[in-house]
Amino acid sequence: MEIVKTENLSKYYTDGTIVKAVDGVNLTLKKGEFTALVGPSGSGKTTLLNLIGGIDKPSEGKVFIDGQEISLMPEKKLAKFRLHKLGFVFQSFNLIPVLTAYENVELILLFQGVPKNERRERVMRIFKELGIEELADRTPSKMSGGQQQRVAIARAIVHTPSLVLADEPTANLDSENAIAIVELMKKMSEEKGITFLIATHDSRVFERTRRIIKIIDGKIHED
Amino acid sequence: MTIKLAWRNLWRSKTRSIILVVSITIGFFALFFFYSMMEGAVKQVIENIINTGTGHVQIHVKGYLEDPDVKKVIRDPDRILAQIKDVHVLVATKRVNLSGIINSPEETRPIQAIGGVLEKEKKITSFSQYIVKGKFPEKEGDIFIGKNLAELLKVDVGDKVVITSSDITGNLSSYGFRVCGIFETPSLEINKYVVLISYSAARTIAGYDNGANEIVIKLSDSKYIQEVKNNLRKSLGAQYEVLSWDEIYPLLKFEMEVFSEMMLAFGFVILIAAAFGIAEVFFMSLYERMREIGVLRAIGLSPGKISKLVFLESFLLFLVSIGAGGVLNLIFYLYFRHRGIDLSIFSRSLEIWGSGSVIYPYVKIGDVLSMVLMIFIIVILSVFFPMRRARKITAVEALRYV
Repeated sequence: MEIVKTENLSKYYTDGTIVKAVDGVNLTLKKGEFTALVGPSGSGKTTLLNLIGGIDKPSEGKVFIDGQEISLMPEKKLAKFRLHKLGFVFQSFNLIPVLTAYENVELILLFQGVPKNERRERVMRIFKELGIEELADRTPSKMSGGQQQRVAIARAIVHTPSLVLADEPTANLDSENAIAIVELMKKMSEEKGITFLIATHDSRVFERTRRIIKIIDGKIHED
Repeated sequence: MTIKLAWRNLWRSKTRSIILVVSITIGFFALFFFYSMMEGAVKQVIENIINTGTGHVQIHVKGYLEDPDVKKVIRDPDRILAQIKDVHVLVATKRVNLSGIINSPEETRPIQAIGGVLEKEKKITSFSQYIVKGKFPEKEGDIFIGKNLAELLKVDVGDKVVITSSDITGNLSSYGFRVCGIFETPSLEINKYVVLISYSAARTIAGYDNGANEIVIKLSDSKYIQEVKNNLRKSLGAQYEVLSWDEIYPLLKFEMEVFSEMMLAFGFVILIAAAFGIAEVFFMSLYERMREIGVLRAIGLSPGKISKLVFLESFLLFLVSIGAGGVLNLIFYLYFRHRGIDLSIFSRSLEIWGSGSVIYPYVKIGDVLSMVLMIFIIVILSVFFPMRRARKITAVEALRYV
């Protein structure tokens, strides 16, 4: 079952000349696939991720997530779609600093309208699965980078999305934590059947994925 | 959770938020202070007008207000007084008002003489509270004059003066008095021009048999003015004019209303200026966490919910500021409402205005609600552009923001 499908997906920027950040990408990702998107800096990894995640609009082409075309969706509908179908993991964790780890993860379910008791149960379950129960009451400033990224993963998967997009999730982590984070994401992908697309140029990550898509100058070079 | 998030965002930079809360609190207090002082002063001016001669309601023959001619006489004032039986009436009395001149051995000045039944005037006016020398008039030949007039006439208690005025036949008529007392009301106008004499002496000067040219009524409360006035108009008929104090001094009423409105408008203008400062702080706070807004947008918060979050922060700031300002205002009001604030330093201008130098702050609950509404509007105006920015920015723009 295809979770992600792109058709001739392109993103151009005009800055005097036309810069093709993503150039005619055709890509499909199946349910539960654990894939790395690799390429040098400036190759268009993040832009492609943003386009697939519906947080950026393509200049040309289409993006289908779970069979639904999202490139033409109005912003409000798209926001709702992201809330239910997608999860994001960022390089710099990007947890909300004024909320505790528990509240950061709960936020997604709250915005989805999940009742309080169910929220508590689901958040605590994911904390347990990721082995971060002791972080529940800590704010991001009281956590290490590895701990923050674990909480960020919890936030990305607590609502069991179809697709998690991770942009350089290990870039700010030491080796030990980087490997642990990738293993954690892989485990979640296998156990929950969540599709992961991880933009990275970190060999510790792509060595552990089943599929590697190489992108250079906005085009898929190898798959 | 949205409220919790907004609340915590608000206190993310404690110092900045405290400065903002203090600024709005001070703004609210300043508005409350100036408005309550102005309202208090206006109330005092009106009370002084009512208590130093005008009363709440007056009865004259038709046309007297327009042309207060001594010939316009109420022939049977006692019959009318007997008809005034409203429960809200505290005192009602007849008067002979005279315009004329007063002579002392050294000076001559224009005056307005109130010729009243002295024991009733003691109840209806507050002249007896303002005695600075001598005593309240008791007998026919007594005259009670203001401090400024006494100085201009160069007379003191016990000195003789003569009032000259037109009588009902159009001839000049004079009457000699001895100064029994000197008063000093909060109004310079009254202290300079108004004298109090007995009804019988005034009647003699005017040449009336048993008439009067004014019946003045004091009520238990100003709120009954309209009711009492309407009843009297019905019972007395068209030959008499029944007027409330604000119909007698329409310009004064207009001035007082304009003063109050100007004060609120002035406060509003000041607050609008403050709104720019508040907006600047909201913008700063928004840009500081632009990446977080990007994250929230990315994970699925709609633009509307993001702007709602920014609005909630400002609303909570408004609530905290109004709460703090409200407490401050309440303490100020409870402490000074009956003690008053001594503004003797401005006594000359306050005397001209007629409020007295001690001002007792006064506000109506509706006015406080107007102030709160004004501050709410200012906060909303301040947050409008930050909210708009938060709504318009895309997730990608926000996530790229450095």
